[in-house]
Amino acid sequence: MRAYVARRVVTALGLTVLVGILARSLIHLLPGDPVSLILGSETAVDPQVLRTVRAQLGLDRPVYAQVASWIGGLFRLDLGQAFSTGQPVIEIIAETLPRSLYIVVGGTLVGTLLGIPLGVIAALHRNRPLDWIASGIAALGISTPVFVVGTLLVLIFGVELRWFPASGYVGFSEDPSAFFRRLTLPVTTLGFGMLALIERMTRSTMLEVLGQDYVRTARSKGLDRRRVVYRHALANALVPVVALVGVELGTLLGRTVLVEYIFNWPGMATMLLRAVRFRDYAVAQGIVLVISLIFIFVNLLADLLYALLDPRIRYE
Amino acid sequence: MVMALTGRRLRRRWRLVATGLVIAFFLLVAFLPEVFAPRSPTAFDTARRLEGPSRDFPFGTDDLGRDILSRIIHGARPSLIIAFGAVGIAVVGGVTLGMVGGYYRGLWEWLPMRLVDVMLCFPPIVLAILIVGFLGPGMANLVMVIGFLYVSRMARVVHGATLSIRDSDYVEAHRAVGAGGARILLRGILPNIMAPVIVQATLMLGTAILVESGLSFLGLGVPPPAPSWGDMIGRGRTFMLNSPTGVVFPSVTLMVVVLAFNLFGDALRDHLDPRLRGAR
Repeated sequence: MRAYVARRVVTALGLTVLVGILARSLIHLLPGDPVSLILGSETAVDPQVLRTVRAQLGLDRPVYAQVASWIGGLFRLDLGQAFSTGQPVIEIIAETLPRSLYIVVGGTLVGTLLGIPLGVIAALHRNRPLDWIASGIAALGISTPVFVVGTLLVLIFGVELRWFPASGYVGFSEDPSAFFRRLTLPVTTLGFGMLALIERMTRSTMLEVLGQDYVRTARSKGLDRRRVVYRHALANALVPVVALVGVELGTLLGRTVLVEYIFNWPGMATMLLRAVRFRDYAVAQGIVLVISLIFIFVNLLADLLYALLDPRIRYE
Repeated sequence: MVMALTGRRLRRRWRLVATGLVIAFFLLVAFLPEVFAPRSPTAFDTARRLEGPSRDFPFGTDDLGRDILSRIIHGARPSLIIAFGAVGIAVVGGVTLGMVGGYYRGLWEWLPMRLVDVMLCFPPIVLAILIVGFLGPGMANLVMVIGFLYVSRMARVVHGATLSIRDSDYVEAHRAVGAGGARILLRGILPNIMAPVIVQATLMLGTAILVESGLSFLGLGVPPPAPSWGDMIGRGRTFMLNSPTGVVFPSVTLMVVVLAFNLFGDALRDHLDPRLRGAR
């Protein structure tokens, strides 16, 4: 077990460095001159401006030197400064990251807590009305774009019924009840898509496990059906679901961008969109990097949890 | 017994056929929008802005007085071109990386698969925003970006499929008669991993349409005035209190198309996977 953990941690660290290199060199990999890309085509290209920008961003140095100093900076938590305001990128991220995490964590919780029971119900009633309903909800959840769900929720609960504020953010410390009221719709939007994925995965792994010999053996020994389903089958069926939550986190983080946009939620994704609009590459690359690091970290956790739950993995 | 079996088989085929017909209809609309659209997608009539459905405008008009139905119909083509273009790139790149990574050992397994691991760390839409944001929107850029992002996902699937058959007897047979690496990959492995590749590609078409419409929704997709479903929903949002049709009709269209690709992919998987065919 210890060797497995060590190997996974080393892999995650390696990925972190590679992801950092890629995020930094992306602007060089895109076709065209990085400075022109950053300035955009609308800006008149004054050679003096070009030179200033290039020096300011360190783009006049060789690419490997730029990337090396950026990676060095990562370990000092230095992601450079915002091109437009000069504010350290890490400060921007420290301010906006928690707000994004509220909706990501909330959405995952809602999706998991509703998705697993729905998946179990669907599997136990395979090809019967309850399965159709549960699987129908899942199919709808997977196929409905998150921005459609969000837009409709705003229309129904924010504008028509006025149950929840349609957009905006209030800090928890300022007003806890306003915080949760504003959190409800974004979390529901994100949770709906997650619910669908988890329902499908739970359903299919449950069906697989229910057909296995040890479940049949347990049943034929005369064990109570409920006990077999919940103690024997569900415990094993949930192992791949844990891995799924890790893998699908990428999708979830992507959807967060749209959710923040729709609900005017001042999180990291909103900063990313603003950075792209103002062509602030320093901020944009920092945010993309942090999002990827979250992905790596959560997948590391999911893998370790997976190994803990399923002893077979450790001896691979 | 026999009757029940054919009945069940028919039902499974039925899902495949029904969703396939929906997809075929959308392909037809995408190829020949002029035939289906009653009006021009860009002609506007400012006297008739934000109208509800009427005989003139079956789905109503948008904030510039353009026909929503015609815009939905003309919006099919860019969505489908981007989806098929991107998935095409993903299939070519992903199958190559995945097969090489799955068949060979050592460096040739390590290198492609680590590349894939790194790519998978970036959520598609986030990286797409960064790249499209700096490269500029436009059809070609969208195809490239989405395709590039899906290469890693396809490579994962192909890698797994290749691993599971690399030691099989028929691949061994190719080796035994002295076939070279390229020949083994193309003749021994490729035909036998087509099923998961096709299923994955079908499911990817649905998600590629979602990513494209998401980017268009954010204003990073196909530039206006060309119609795009995501952009229609994004613009319609501002006026949805007075005129919900501008959001509702493109949303429903998008959902139906994506749902069709997803269900088609699922049905195809059930159909192609012999393990599931016999299952209750």
